[in-house]
Amino acid sequence: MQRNSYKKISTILFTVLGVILLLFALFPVYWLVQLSLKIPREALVMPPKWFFIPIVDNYVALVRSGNFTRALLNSLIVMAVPSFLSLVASLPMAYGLSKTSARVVRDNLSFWVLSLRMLPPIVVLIPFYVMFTRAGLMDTVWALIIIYLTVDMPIAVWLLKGFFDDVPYETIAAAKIDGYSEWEIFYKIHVPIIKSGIVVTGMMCAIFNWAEFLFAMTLTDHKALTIPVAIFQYMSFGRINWGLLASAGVLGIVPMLIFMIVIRKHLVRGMTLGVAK
Amino acid sequence: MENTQISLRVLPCEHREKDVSMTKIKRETYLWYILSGVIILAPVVGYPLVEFFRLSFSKWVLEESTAYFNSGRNFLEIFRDPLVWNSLKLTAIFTGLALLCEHVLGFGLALLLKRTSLSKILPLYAIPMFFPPLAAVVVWLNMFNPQFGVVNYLLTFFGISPQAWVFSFKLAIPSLIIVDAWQWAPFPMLIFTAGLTTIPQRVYEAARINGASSWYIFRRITLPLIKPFLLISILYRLIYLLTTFDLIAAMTEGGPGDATLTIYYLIWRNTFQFVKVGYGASISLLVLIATIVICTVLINATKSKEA
Repeated sequence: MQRNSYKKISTILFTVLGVILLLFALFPVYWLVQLSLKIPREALVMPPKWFFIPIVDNYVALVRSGNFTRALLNSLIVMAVPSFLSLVASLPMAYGLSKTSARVVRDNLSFWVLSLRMLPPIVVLIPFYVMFTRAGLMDTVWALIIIYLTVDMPIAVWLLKGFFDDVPYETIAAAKIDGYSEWEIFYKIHVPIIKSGIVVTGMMCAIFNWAEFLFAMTLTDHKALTIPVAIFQYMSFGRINWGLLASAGVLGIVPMLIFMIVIRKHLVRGMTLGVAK
Repeated sequence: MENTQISLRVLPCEHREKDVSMTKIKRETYLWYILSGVIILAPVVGYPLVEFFRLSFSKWVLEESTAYFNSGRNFLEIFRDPLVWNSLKLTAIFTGLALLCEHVLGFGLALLLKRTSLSKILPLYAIPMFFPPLAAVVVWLNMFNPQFGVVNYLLTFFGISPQAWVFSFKLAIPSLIIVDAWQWAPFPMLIFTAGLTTIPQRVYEAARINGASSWYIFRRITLPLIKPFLLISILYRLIYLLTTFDLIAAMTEGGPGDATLTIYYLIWRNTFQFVKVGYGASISLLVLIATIVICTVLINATKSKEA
């Protein structure tokens, strides 16, 4: 009996602590949203205005400012194009690495691909900066598309390889019995089997491209800027317009949350590149 | 697809290794698949890497957009640069403390959620991880505002006087750590939660029947079994913490003074603000080597635990 009551008390204490930590996690979310719905004058007042009439003026102003619509468009392009290209380019390689019996090739190349993901980004950025300067590609979306490929492809190869690993070898034998050719075994059998894995992989790449700041800030200025760069530029102006900034931030979170909800079951796998499933 | 599944059932697993002609595709076919990827990856990643090594041994002349070999003089300059040594110290402090906070918070959350019915809303705890860093910077800068920020306001209820947070020399790094822990504690939490589910409930029951205390169970069962997951989490977060850029560039710009000038931001500033591309590349080379050493040590630690 004593053990039970002890357990009950500890459960209550843990729940209280958990709720406090939940408040810590979610309070900034609430704060950002309410900032985006306040007039600038109310954004910084002491004590804070907890009750106010929400307005959407900030969002309207944001969409009307040509700068932000351009950033939104650029962000969508550099989110989608490199993700898609690296999926297409990585599928055969991931399949080969997963199914080959040549152990030396498989292990060494796989490790090489993973180590590319572990490179400090600035190591890739510096030579690309030099090349883009020479090629006149600075402040274009091409620069971002190319450099995001260097990050997305290792993510894609590694994650897709993991998904191909999950397909049992017997599938190949079965497909052969059914008379599929080797190429068909790849694209008619294996690719459809790992369909959801492909979606997860594509979204992990997209998440990276969408939130990426270092490359975008260094390689773009006012023509090819993405949403993070736009936010950074709004902050650098003398007087900060918190309402505008916050509404840009809210719009920046929306796609990330959508992706998170879609891939929630594969989140751990995606974040650790399949090391922990 | 239906055909496939039917044939799967008639073919027993033992055939996997024996009947090579049936179950295996020609070795060359796979190599072609792999080669197709290597052909794309090699120029996209390989060439920049070669260029990077060349740059780190060169001096960049802005007017000509050319790099001239200067026989390792960059590395001599690094050893004479007091900012480098200061930033190495700051990087160690920031990385170490942030890593610790994230993991204590994340591990604690994972254990706590497992015990309570809050585990049903676990994804809510992961939301901060999906803030684009710049959105996180916006909201935290507003909350940390020295005069009108909500953090200072809430602290007055606990009798704590207003702080300057990111604008204060002392509190700049702790402020960054708070933001980082808020955003990234969910990462170890998710990994630990995945790890905890791999421990069979029977093990705990057996221990409890034998009269083991909660602390003993934690130390002798949970901790050893969760260790590989802990190492993976530390490895990933360490690599990303060493290359923290967004937070510092957007919140403090290395300041006040040099209070948050970590090595990574120092490299960025040297390379792209002062356009000392060669010098920046050579500091990055040292950081790269350090990263490789740390990774190797941690990966070996993972392997020895598994064996």
